[in-house]
Amino acid sequence: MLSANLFPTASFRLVALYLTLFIASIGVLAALLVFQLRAAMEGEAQTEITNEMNLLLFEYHEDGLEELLEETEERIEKNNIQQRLIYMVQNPAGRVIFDPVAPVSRPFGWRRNIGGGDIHFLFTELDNGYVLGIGKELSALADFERAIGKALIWTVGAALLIGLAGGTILSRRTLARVEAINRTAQAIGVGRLSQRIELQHTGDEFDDLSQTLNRMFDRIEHLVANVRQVSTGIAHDLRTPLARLRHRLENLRDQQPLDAQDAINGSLAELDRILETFAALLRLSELEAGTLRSGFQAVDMVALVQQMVEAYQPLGEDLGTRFQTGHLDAATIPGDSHLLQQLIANLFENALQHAGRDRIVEVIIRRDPDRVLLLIADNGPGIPERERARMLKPFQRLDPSQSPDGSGLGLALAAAIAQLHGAELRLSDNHPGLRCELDFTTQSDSR
Amino acid sequence: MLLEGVWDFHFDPKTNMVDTHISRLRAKVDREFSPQLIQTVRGSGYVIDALG
Repeated sequence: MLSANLFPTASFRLVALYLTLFIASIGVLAALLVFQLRAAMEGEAQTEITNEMNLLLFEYHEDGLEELLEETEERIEKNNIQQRLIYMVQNPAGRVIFDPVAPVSRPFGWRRNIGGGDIHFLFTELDNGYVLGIGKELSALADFERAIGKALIWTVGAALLIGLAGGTILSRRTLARVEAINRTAQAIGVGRLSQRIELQHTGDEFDDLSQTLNRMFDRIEHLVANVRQVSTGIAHDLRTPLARLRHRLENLRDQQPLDAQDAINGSLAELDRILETFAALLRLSELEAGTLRSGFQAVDMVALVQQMVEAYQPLGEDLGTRFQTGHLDAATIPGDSHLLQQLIANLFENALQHAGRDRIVEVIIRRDPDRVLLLIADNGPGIPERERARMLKPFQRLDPSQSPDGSGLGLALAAAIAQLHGAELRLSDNHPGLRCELDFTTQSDSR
Repeated sequence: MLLEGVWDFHFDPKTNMVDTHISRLRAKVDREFSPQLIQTVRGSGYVIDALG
């Protein structure tokens, strides 16, 4: 799969594109170089030829044709090297002496590429039909062009090779990472929800992507676990009351009208409990969906806490629990006051149910620069440390065999409300008792 | 209803909070008088009835 699909990969195509651009720019560079060099060398050759021509013409005008021929011959002998200038003199009959050059006719002046070579020539007509010609072969330029051509071929070859190899390696690495992500996603797709993408910790885009995906997978796993747990919970919690209800109705069928009243009342109470559980479940799913957040307004926490304590105080006194407020910092948080009331009520009712007699429930608000801390602490029996996380989930009771009343959803609802407000509900030890901590972060709302 | 009117509560407490408050109210208002001002209506709530 890896090597077969290498060529269509994005990274390979990217490398190929860069390679093409690289080769094209090298070609442009070489062409410019040759062009410039040619211009410079031609200019130089023309200057040299012009100077030489002027010198010889001077000789000719001073001393005549004989002197010109002698001088030319002298120059040919003196500069008997490859790079020397080419001389020719053509008589009126069209015969050429000195270097072997084809006869020329009018118009005279500058000519190039005489006889196939890369040669520049300047012809000047003397008196009485003679023509003087001086030329220079640009052989160095031709050599240079050949060298550049060779170098270009080698460079392109090497670039192609390196690019191909680099592209392959890069594509393989990219493909491997993509493949890892793909594998994990597939595994999760078929139900292995705990799988996560392994990070390379290079801090690159793939790690970013993997982290984002992993967070998404966390959320999915969490939600699926929740759904599973809730459905199991529903099945468990509703089976017993429904069975009892059925039993009561069966009895009712066989009984006297007088006893029927009690049976009906019992059935109604049972149904109420079922409905209550459903209502709480609906509330919970509504909270977890997070849509209620749009209706948030500023909530004065101190007033809220005082109101709740006032509402619960008499009930607490009857049951032997004293609700009291400790230090209350002035604090306002964005939220839904009804939900926050319910949150506190659930925690209060938990304390009432489980703390027992002669207990104190104290509420404290602490305001820090970047957060508001709401503490509700009692001095009852508390919750063992290993049970605390479990208690925040739906349908969990400290002792499943006990406390049949109560939906088992109270703390789960409180936790869901807290989460909706960007807060975390933490349970800890109050030495002795239970300490519920709600940490509302007020600054940067990252959710 | 009472919960909403007095405290603006929009949830059902599991506890008999209302009964407790009513009984306290009774203790303050009705203990030494007859007829009782605060009457219980079984199955639906409470009513203030001066005629009793």
